[in-house]
Amino acid sequence: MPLSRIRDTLAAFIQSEGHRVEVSVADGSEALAEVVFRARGQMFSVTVAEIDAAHFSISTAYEVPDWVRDRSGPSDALDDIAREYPGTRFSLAHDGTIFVATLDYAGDVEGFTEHFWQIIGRLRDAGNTAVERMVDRSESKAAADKFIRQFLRGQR
Amino acid sequence: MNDSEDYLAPIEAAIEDEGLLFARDDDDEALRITFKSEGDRYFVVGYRDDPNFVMIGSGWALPTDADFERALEIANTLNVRKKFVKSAIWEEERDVLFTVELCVNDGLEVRPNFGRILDVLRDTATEFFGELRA
Repeated sequence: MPLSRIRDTLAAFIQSEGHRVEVSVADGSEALAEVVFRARGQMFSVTVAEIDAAHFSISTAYEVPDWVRDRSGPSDALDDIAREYPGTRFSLAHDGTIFVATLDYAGDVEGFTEHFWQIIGRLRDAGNTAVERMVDRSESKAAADKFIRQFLRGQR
Repeated sequence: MNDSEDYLAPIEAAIEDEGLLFARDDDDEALRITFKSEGDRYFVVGYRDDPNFVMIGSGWALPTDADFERALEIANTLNVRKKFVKSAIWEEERDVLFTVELCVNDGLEVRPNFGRILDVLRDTATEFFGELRA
């Protein structure tokens, strides 16, 4: 199936599910297509390339909470979550102010649309868990844990 | 608000904020919006004779083999436990309806909370059917 038809099929499916869709073609060529939509307040991007039209990459970006930036917490949390969500890739971007979560699907567009919302849900779970884990690793959480341990030992 | 005012217009804007498509279906009595999110259907309805009342909801078919008493029990449990959402078995026991009913001076009051309302409607339906299948 040509890339343009895959792209249009995917866009029509997402639209039929109630979501506004933007379709773009990278560099004006037909080699790479991107379909962008929003769900539950989060922007998602699906890319598919002419060279491998049975491979879809779904990505979404999250803001790294500003009070945990400039520490090892974000990258450590992303390493942990990548292990807990096999197949999901994470990368920090824009000087560590955001991270991008990406999940790949191999198969035809019909199979992709059949499982579409489960895939989106899994990616969203991974991203949300990563944000929670970053916050859990913050110094304020560590300080709270320290206080609770001291409190339980009667040291406070 | 006067009678001619389209007081659901801010809710249309809220739906657009969510990146969703919608359709209008108004008549002499009611203002209605229907839309889908992730393939699930939702509605918003307001009545011209009570412009402060807005209902946002979703309706689902009960499985044909569902135990009606169990469905009622789950709906009641959710009514006790969940914020905002009213769950009801509806239309000759064939459907379950989840609604958020609000009293507003202006539809603008709904707009910043619309995502939260959709989340709680979605979560309540997921919990209801999860419990029903358990």
